[in-house]
Amino acid sequence: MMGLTGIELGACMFAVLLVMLALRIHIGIAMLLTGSIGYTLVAGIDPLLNYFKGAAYARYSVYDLSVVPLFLLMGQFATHGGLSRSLFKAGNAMIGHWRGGMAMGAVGACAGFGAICGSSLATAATMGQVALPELKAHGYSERLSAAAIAAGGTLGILIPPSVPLVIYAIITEQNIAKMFLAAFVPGLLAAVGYMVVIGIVARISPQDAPAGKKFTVAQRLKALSETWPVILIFVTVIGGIYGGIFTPTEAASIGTLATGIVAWTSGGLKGQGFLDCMYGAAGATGMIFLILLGADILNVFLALTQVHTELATWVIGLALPPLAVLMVVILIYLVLGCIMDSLSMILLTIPIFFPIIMGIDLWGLSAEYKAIWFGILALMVVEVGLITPPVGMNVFIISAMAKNVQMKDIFKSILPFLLSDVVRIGLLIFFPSIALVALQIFG
Amino acid sequence: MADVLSPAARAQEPTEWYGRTLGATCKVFAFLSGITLVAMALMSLASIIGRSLFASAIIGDYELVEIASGMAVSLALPYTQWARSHVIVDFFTAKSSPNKVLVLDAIASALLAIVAFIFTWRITVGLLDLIGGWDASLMLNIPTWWGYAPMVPSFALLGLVALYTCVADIRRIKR
Repeated sequence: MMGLTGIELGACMFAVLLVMLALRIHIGIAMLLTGSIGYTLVAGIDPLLNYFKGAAYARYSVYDLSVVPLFLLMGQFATHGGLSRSLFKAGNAMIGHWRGGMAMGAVGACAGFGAICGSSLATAATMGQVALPELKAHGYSERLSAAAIAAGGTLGILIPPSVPLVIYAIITEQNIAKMFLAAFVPGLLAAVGYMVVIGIVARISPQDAPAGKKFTVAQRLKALSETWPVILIFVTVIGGIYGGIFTPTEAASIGTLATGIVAWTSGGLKGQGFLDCMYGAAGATGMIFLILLGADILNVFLALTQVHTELATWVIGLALPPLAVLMVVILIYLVLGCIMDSLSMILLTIPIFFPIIMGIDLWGLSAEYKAIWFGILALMVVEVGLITPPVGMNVFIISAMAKNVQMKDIFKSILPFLLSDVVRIGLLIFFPSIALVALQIFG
Repeated sequence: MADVLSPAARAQEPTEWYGRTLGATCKVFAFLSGITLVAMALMSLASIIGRSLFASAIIGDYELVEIASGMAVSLALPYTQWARSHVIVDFFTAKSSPNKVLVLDAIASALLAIVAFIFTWRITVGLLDLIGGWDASLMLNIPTWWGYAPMVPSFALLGLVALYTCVADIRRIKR
């Protein structure tokens, strides 16, 4: 076609895609149109129209993907079920008397909520509603509280279940159960990292983060025991998937029903509450699956031009140091993360980067371990985009709730949390076993 | 996710009869989408109980999940546009004038409408192709076109809603 090689045509179409994105066209539609135009240039319009007949059905009626809408509904039920409140109370009862302890408790509660919710924005939003007023009442500065919860919100995705991780597992044909298991330790490490940051900030400026009152052992046990639904649901869902008792869809089904029952008994589903859950789940489902459809059509075009294999062969042929290649990939993610959402980034870039990563030698890892480790690494890096300016969605959400503090001040206060992200990503690059250790023990 | 992105702040409540009808229809579709998911979850639960207690899972449970999943997902699509929850990159237009943003958003909605209508047409053609044939699921012998059927009204409604948001944005442009 016009004497262009696959790579040249691919690069042209990628430029078209970027222009469309800059002009506020829906990301899914921009991918779909780019793929369609490219496909038509290469193969003509008739095969494309023919492909459209079954494309939506083929993408939407997939057994493995059915966990995505289920997890989204489960997250809605969890948000309406008051679980975030009991988690925050438990965190506060345990470590609230430390300097900065209440904010650390809020981060811990985010981690707990992340264990039953696969979305960072929902985690940040629900925890912000519960924890921000409490932290303010106890004399915490709003800047620090807002930054801590915006950062803590990213634990929603880092700790399984995690929607982007499911999507990564499906497009790279990895085992979802193993991906979830591998995400567990890095997710906990993230929570600990944020707590350490709060501890340090509290030492430097004690007026921002006073110590709370100490709870008795009985009070602590009571607060902890009230989080039992979260623990039960998490153990059933993740344990069931990993133990091979359920398929991921079955586990998500049980999790959704159980979370729904908890929300119902707590009164969160009365009247409008139930409708809000349905609408919220539908809104998020439609958003994700429009992008999935667009990514499918873009990938059909890419496969036709062989651009990803050509590009991978070219990069591998350069024989650059493998770490340098990995660093470039991570740098691209960090830059893209400033302007795009995590799921679109994964869908857009994994088909291109994955063959390259699989083709170079990194720490002598086996193909499966390398795929899993890179997935966790990519997830962590794209999540950083949620708290970086100019469009850190978590910060936007928290800023809408913390009215007395300016967005730019939250971004300033979030810098130490970003630093902890960078340190953790560095550790994960050089010590893949942080992610793989759980697989080696239980695998 | 969608619920927390404050779509309500941008989508004004429509006053025209067709706007209200479209909005209500989207909500009905979204509700049916959620109910489909709940039904799918209950079916999975029944299948697990069946196979652990009575050594017999529901026959064809995978197929039922696939059909239900396709249905739930396509029924959700129109509401997402109604609530304006689709993801866009607004980095490059953050400082543009409101009018410019409205024009760009109207164009984006128009493109979405075109894509949605093309898919409505193609899925209908695919559906008609399948009705005559023998293509069916393995265990339960459910005709494949049953899975296509709910996608036609969903994509058609998505197209209509996108047209509506396109017109609504054009009307909000200040002269």
